[in-house]
Amino acid sequence: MTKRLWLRLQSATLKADVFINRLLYQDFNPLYYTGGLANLFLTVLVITGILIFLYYEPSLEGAYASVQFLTEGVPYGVIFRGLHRYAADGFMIAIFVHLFRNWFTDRYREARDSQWISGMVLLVFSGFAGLTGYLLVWDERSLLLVSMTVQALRSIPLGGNWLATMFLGGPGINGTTLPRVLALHIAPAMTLYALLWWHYVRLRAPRVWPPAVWVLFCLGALFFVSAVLPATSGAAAQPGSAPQSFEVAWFYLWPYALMKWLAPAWALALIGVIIAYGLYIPYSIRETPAERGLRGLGQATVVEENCTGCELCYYDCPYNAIYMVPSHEPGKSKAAANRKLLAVVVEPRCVECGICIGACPFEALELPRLLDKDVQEMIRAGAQAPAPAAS
Amino acid sequence: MSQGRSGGMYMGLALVLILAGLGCVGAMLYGEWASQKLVGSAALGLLLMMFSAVVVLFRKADTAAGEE
Repeated sequence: MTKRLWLRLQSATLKADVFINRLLYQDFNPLYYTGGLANLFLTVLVITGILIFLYYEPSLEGAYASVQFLTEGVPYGVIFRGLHRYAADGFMIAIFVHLFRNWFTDRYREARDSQWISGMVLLVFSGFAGLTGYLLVWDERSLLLVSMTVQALRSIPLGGNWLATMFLGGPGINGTTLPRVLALHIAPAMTLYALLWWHYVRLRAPRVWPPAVWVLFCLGALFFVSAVLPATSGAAAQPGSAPQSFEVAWFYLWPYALMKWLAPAWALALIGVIIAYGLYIPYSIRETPAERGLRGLGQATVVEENCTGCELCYYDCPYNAIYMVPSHEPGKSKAAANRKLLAVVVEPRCVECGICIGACPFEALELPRLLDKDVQEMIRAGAQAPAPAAS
Repeated sequence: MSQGRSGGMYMGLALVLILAGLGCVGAMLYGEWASQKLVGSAALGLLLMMFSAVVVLFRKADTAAGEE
């Protein structure tokens, strides 16, 4: 049942690829650039965030007024605020399409666990940075969200009260609360770039940026939406007042919506379980040797005497698992006699895919458990097997 | 429909978008002149989206001609 559902999801994902390829050109297909689109939105977030930061005053008295001044008093301030607001939504949409696409097409298994895990951590940090952004506006919704956050933190059995005090900067909302929230907004956002390095480090040619057509389209869409649906604040937060309901921005504030249905402790536990499951996904696959097929044949090894230092394997390895180092002695084969470089396999990065073996015209790479003699043996066994009966 | 005819259709559509884009430039100028920042920004957004559509249409039209 699950397997059938999974196959359908995979088939639907691939059909979406084919459909868009027919509609547009393959190199314009946005599904191939979901990571790059997320980067584009992140760049807009950073640039507009810096501009907003120049006007923002992180104090209980000044925060709301500074946001209002930016929106109404600064030329195009409302547009910058809108760009920041809607780029955050675009960022989350791009991330989720990226996540589901890679999930449904099995691009998280084995050596791709590094990308998956770093992606999950990126998602958590992005969600947290976005969520704290809603607290900074300091309108009635912000006040309610802060009190719900404190309630949730206090429901944590061990150290919950301490966390709530650290979050607020004291036993209740005070002058140090908003600077802390601002730090909790900016610090995870800055961390995203370090996490992106982790996300990309094992990829040879990651598509980190979408085609110009999509850059223009997305920027245009952001400007258009920012103008047609300007980002606004609710009523100013009044200390002591306790609004009961708020407008849910579903991409970031769903944990608070969850708290309307569940007790804070259970809502936090559920979020924890979702995150833990997300991190566990790459390790949840259990395959029999038959299902593994020709995978798992051992990491590629360099046959040093044959390596000519041509770098073909270096350029073809999609996992950045082959480095070229200076060669201090010539190879044994004629082609390798004058080499200047030698290929070296970085074992932790090798996924045993065999691409380098196909790339090498000099038989200088091999998978230890699939040598030429093994392949010949498999061919021989195949040739000797009885032919399937005609139906 | 032949490839050539569909190429012509794409070019025609691109021409319509280019003319609409000129309208957007007018709206941007009006927005700036009349201090209607939201109008100007919406027009800029539309212009960028239409420009990207024009690039795709040109590409489709070119390829259709090339395949004839």
